[in-house]
Amino acid sequence: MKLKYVIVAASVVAVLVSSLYRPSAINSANLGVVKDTLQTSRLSFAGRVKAPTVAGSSHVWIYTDSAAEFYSVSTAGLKIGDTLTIGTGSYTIASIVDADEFTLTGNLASGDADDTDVIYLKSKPQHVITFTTASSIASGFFRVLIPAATSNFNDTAPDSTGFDFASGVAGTASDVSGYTFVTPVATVSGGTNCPSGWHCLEYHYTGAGGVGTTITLNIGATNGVNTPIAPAPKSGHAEGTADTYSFRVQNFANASDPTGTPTDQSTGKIGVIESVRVTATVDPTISFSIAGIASGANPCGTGTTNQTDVTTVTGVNAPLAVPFGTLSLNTFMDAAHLLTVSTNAANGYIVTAQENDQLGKDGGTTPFIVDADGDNGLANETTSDTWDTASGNPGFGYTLKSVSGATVPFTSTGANFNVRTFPSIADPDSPLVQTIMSSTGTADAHTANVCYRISVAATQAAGDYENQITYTATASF
Amino acid sequence: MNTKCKIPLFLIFIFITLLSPGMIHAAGYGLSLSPPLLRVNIKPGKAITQVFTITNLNNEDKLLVARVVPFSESDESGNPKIDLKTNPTWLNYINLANATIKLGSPFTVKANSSEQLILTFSAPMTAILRDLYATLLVSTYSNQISVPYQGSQISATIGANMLITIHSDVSPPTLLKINQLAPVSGSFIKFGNFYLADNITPIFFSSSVKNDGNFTSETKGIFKITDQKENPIYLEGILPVYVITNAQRTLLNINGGKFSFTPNLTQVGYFKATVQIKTDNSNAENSNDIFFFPFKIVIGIFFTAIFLNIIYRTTKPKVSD
Repeated sequence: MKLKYVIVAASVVAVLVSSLYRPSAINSANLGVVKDTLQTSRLSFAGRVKAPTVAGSSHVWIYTDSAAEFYSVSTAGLKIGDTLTIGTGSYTIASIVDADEFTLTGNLASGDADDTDVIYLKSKPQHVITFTTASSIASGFFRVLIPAATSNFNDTAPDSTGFDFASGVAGTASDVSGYTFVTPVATVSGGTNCPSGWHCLEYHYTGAGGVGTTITLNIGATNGVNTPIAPAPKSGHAEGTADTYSFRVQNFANASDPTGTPTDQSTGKIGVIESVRVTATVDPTISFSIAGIASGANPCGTGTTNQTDVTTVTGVNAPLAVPFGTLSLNTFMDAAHLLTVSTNAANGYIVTAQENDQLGKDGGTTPFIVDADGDNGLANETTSDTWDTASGNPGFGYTLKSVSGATVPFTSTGANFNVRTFPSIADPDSPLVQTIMSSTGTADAHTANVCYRISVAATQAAGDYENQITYTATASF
Repeated sequence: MNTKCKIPLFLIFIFITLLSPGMIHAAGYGLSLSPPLLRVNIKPGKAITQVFTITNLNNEDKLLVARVVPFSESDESGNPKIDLKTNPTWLNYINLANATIKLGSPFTVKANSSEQLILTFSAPMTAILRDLYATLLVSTYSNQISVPYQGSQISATIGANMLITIHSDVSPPTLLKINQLAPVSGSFIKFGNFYLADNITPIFFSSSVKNDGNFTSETKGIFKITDQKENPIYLEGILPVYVITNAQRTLLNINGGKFSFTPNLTQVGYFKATVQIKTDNSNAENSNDIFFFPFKIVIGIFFTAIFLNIIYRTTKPKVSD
C-alpha cells in the first residue's frame, strides 16, 4: 500500500517537473478592435485605350478584355469629373457614354491615344488606423504593414495586388496619454526592415504607454499628398464585389528589431470596390405658360419715344386675352404677354402663333380691323415693317422681344415698333403658322414678350372687334 | 328679430364685405406635358398604350381639350409643320382610353394637379406599312366666343409629337442621304473639288441629311478628319435626332454645335472630312477633301520680308561717286 502511494506521488512530481522544464510557447497578445478606415474604399482604375480613339479627339474607347495588370474592363468604376492619366497626360472625364466609351473635357494629345495606352485613375484614400493597446510598453513603437505588389510597387501606377507607394508615403499620429509620437517613418516594400509584399510605417513614441488606450495612426493625407495609391481591380475581379486585403498592426518594445516578434499584434481586413455611379431618370417634359404684363411696363423695344407709350392694358388678370378696351381713333393702343417655355427635351422646342381671322366686328367676319402692314406697307406674316405712325396706318399686329434664352425671329429696335401680322387660318394665302420663339437645346424658363399694337381709322365701324390667337408649344424631335 | 335690429346688422355686413374683399389670384396659363415626344414602332394588328401626363401649373382649375392632329413635314430643326386642316382616316387609330376624357371634349384639370391621358394606338392588320406623324395637342378651352371687350382671345396649346412607324420589322430600311458637308467658317477657299484651308485657324463645318426613304431614321454616327492614310486624327459624335420621311435635318455635333476641327502646324497636306451615319436601318456617308497649309504664316513671312527689304533699302547709305 505504501509503495502504491509512493508511485502516485512520484508520478505527480514527474509531471510537474516536466511541465516546468518544457513550458508551452506563449503568443503575443492581440491589440483590441483594429480597424483601417479608408477615406474612400474606391478601387483605382487600370484600363487601356482602344481604337478608334485618336489624338485630337475627346472621345475615348477602352478595351473590354483584360491584360496583365489591366483588369479594369468597363467604365463602371469611373464618373464624370474624375481625373485620369491617359498615356502620359492628365485628363478630366466629361461624360460616360456607355460601358466602354467616355468623353473628356479636352482633346487627347498626340501619344496619349495610341492603342493600349494606359488609362489610370489613381485613388488615394487616407488610411485611418485605430486600435486599443494590449500591453503597457514604455517608449516603444507601432508598426503598420499595408499590402504591396511584389513588383512595380513604387512606380506611381495602380497595382492589381496591393497599394503603390507612389514615390513617398507619410504617416501621422495623434498623441494620447502615455504616447507622445515622433515623426513616423515610412519604408517601401523590401526596404530596410520591411518585408517584401508590404509597405511599412513605424510610429515611435515616448511615454509610459498604457493598457486599453485608443491609438489613431494615419497613413497619407485627405488631399492625396504622400498617400499610397489604392489597388486597381484584381485579376478575375467581379464588378460590385470588393477585393479584400489584409493589413497588420504591431507594437514593439523600445529598441526592438522590427523584423522580430512584436509584443502585441493584430491583423485586419480592408476592402476596395468600384465607386457606385448614382443615376436617376428624369422624365422628359415640356412646360408652357402665358402671363399678362402689368400696365405701364415697357416690354418691347428699348423704351424710347414710341415705346414709352406701350401702356400695356393686358394686366395680370388677363393672361388669355388681349383686352384693348375702347380705342381712340388714329391712336396706338398696346398690350403684351410674357411667354415662358421650359423643356428638358434634348432638341429644344418651338412656339408658333396663328390667328383664326382678322379682328371681326362682334365675332363676325366683316367689318374687320385689318392686319397691319406698317408705315411703309411692307409688313406681313413673315416680313416686319416699322409702325410708329398711327394715323393713316390702321391695323393690328405684334412685335417680339427675347427676355431670356429664347430665339425670336424679329424684334423691335430702339424707338421703332417693328410689326408683323399673325398668320391667319382664314386666309388661304397665309402661312399656317409662324414661329415666334424657339430653342435648339434644353430650355430652363426661356421667356419672350409678345407685344400687340392696334390702331383704327375714323372710318372704322363702331362695335366690338375680336379674334382668337393660338400659341402652340411643342418639343422638337 | 324685429326690423330695427335687422337693418343695422345688414349694414354692418355690407360694410365688412366692402372693406374686406376676398383675395384675388392672378389668373394665368401654365401647363406641362410629359413626354413631349413619343417614338413608336408597331406591327400591323398590334396596339400600344402610352400615358401622357398633363399638369396644371396654376392655382385655379383649368378647362382643357385634347386632340390629335397630323403633320407630314418638319423643318431642319425637327419642328413639325402641324396641319390643322387635314383629317386623315388613320387618325381613327388613335384614341384615349380614359373613362371620362375624350379627344375633342373639354375636361377639367384641378389647380396644381395632373391628369393622365391614356392614349392608345391600334394598327389594324390591313394598315399600310408606313410612317404616321401626329401631335397630341392640349389647348385651353372656352365656350365663350365673345369677350367683354374688344381685342384678341388667346388660346394656348401645348403639344407632344408622335413618330409612329407601322412595319413588321423593328427597323425597316430607309434611305438617308447626306446632302452636303462643307466648311462654313474659318480661313479657307474652295478650289475645284477641294478646299484650301489655313492650318492654324479652327475650321467649322455644316452638314445636313435628308431622308428619302419611307421610314424615320436616327442620325447616329461620327464626324471625322482623316489623313492621307485614312487614319483618323479627329472624331466627333453626331447628335442623335430623328429624320422623318422626306424631311431634311441639320447635323450637329454631340453638344448641339457645328462640327469643328482645330488643325496644328504639323498638319500640312491633304486631309479628308467625313460624316458617317450608321444606324439600324440606314447608312450614309459624305466627305470633302481639304488641303491644310500655313497660309497665314507664309503670308506673314512674305510681308515681313518685304517690309524689312523696304527698311533696308531706305536706310542703306548712298555711296557717293
